[in-house]
Amino acid sequence: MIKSNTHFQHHICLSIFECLIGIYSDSSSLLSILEKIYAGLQVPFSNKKINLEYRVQLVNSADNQHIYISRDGCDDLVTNDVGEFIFLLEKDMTIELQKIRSDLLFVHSAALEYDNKGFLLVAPSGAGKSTTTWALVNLGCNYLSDELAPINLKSMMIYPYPHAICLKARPPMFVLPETCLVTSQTIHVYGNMLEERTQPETSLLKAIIFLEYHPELPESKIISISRGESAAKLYSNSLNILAHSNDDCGMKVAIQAVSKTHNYRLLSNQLDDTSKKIMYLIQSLD
Amino acid sequence: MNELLLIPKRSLSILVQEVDDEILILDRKDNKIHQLNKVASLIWKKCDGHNSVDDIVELLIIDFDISPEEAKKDVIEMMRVLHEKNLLE
Repeated sequence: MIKSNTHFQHHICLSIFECLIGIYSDSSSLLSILEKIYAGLQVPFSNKKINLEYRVQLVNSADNQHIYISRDGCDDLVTNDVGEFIFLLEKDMTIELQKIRSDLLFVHSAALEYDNKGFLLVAPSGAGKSTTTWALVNLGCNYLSDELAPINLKSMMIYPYPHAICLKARPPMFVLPETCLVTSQTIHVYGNMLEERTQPETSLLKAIIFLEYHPELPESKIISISRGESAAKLYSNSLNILAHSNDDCGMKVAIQAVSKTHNYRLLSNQLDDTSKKIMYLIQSLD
Repeated sequence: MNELLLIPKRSLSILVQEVDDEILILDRKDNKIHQLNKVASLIWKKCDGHNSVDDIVELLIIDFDISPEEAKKDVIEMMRVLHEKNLLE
């Protein structure tokens, strides 16, 4: 594949966690998709140093089209599926960003803000982070991320990563806008409503909510948890905790982080009930 | 074998932190973290390679003012869990 960025007519620059990412492509359609997915992260190109550079090429063969994602120093990523293209690019970017910003603690989590109170919804994939995020945005929360929450452990500020909300299915309520990108496996929600609700600056982390989906329960339930339980859960959901290790594999960092926040387990059931209870909880926090 | 005579000893591959009255144990072999509640934490602290399971039962009866049956049940269950998670030698 072509190794020089100058061959490509189309390009965008993203600013993520104070790092600049240049993406260059020969395909206006692929760049157009990325412009929508990363609308909240785009900045004009400037003289500042680009930290990460990607080349995206659309290659036609006899019976198929393939998308190549290239980054200097590593093998190309190849797919023929737009959904997988977004997934692969994002996965590579977020791994590289963790290396560049190893000073931040990256948590696999959604992040939102209401009334200057930032909070995390921490859960493994498929537990409902993005769907709950979409509901909370509709209820008036500002959006930081549905997937990745880097935290400055000194200031306890959450960095925003407001890419398009990535749902695996249409939510049972809070109708999606028409401006969605539907791929083979995912629905990416972007557009005016999300842009208006995007929190562009860092937000002070006040609460961590560990989300668990419990369809068997009659209603959702929020339970205050100990620092020990919260630290164990945060540890398990941190992506680069070992980067913050002295001789303790990062355990002290997890304890330190949850010592400055309110900590809860949320046993979620119906989306309506879950999201209203979260709103009530956040509104009632100091 | 009488399980009350066993002398439990903590695994060497772990790291431990105490938060309030709870113990966090990180198993470095698989990087899994375990959180123990107050009772479990006390039992864990007594697994020092010197106390037998029976000794730990006695200590629990004193510390928590619970019946010998309840203490024995709690300690034996805790030993089973700790073994299952490979947190004891």
